[in-house]
Amino acid sequence: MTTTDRDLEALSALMDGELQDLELRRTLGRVSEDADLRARWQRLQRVSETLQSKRVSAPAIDVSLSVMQSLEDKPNLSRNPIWSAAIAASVTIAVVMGGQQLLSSSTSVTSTPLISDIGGGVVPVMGAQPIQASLGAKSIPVTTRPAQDSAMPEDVAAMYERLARDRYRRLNPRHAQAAALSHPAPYISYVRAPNASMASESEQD
Amino acid sequence: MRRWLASQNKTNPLVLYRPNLLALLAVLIVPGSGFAQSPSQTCDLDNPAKQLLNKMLQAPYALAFEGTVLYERAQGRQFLTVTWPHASGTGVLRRMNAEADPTAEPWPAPIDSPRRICDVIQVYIPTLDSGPVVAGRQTQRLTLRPRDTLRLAHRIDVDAETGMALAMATAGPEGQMLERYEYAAIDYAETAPDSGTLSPAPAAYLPGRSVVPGYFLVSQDADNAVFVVSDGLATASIFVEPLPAGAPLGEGAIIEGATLTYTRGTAAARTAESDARSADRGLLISVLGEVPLVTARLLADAVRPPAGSR
Repeated sequence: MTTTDRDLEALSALMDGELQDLELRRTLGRVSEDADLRARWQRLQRVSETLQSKRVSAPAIDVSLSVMQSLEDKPNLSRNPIWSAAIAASVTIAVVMGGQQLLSSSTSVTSTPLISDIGGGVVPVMGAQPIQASLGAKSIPVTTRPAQDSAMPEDVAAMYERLARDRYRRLNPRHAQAAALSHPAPYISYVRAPNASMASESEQD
Repeated sequence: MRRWLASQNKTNPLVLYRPNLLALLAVLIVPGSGFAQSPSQTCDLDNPAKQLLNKMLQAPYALAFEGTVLYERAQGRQFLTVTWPHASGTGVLRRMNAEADPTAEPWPAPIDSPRRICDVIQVYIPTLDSGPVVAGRQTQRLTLRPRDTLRLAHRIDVDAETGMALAMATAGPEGQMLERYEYAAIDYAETAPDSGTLSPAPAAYLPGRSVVPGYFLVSQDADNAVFVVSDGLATASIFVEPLPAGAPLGEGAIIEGATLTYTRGTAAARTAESDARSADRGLLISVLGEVPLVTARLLADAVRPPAGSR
């Protein structure tokens, strides 16, 4: 899906706080599903901050060379989707995690008005309950951009679903440790972990 | 029920760094960071719902208990016994479903901070109603409605006397129940836990930079490429690793109970010096959390290849 002039106009109006409810929904939906539009919003936000002499968000630090060095230094161990954490660490320490400047520059959450509910489609997820993708997100799994000479899109979608399922099994114990700290019943986070003893087996029944 | 907040906290980029760059980057990060409040800062709890929510969040430090719990989600149900705190200094959980002698599994003390309630009520609207009797205890029903579409809704039956969360259901964006738990029985001890005996000690609550509106970075493990964000109630963990060589770019997700797992393969940086093999090596971003899909996607967006990427 490509960014249209209408999207850009809506984004500009959104930045100016001039969007009406329905158009706001549509624009937020478009932003949710269009990476280019999200990136443009972030750029506009930075420009807006600069023009208003506000604090400019910390710029991303170009560590491209470090990333590539990390990638090139490491052997390609396997095509298996499960890798060693050591390799992951060597690469990911050099990525940039940016704040989501998706909304206008107001600083107070509580002082802002609320608008009405935002709808969205129900997303079928294989092997699980449906969820609704907020902001108009359409479906998962979905292929965003297949690599050159890659498999068919449906194969890609299936691969990423397998990856998601694998990561759920493998990473949820670690996530549980973090989630427990904020949950009103901390043990629930551990019970969710699928690899714990017989509970997991019973859930497969 | 769900509402979108017209504007949110302004957020700032965050740089994940090599350990040996820590000193340098700390200078760049801290001055512009989003540490919006001090850990001790409090907020106005101006209605009974907020006050009960605060009491509920503080309950683990005021109550010692043993109980039996039913946990349910679409994939099945489990029966648990829980003890807080155990002599070991942690909580202890036993899964009673299938084992004659279930293993004792420890669980830690939750965070204890006056700041937390302030973060929670910034992104959820608490309302109060009369609740059912749960495990023989009269409850008040606390409903936490998200102010935006970036988090899930919760319905919590809170012990009217103690503030203990005796039952809780988490709903998806469409209102469908994703998971729930409920105490079948609970016995409170006469004395409160001795916080000095808890081991490990309660984790500090020092929310850092806002990554997605309402979600703050609460921990990062750069060595293992794990980053955790929270809005004070919901938590999401972000894991980053190399994309398999030759793997196409794409995304996928599954949901188990309230936990969404989202994976995305994204392109990595490409430089003039890189060869064809390395240029194909992207990043695989996995987001696990009790969050809607849109939040997971935004969190994955927040992990970006450095400048110069494709």
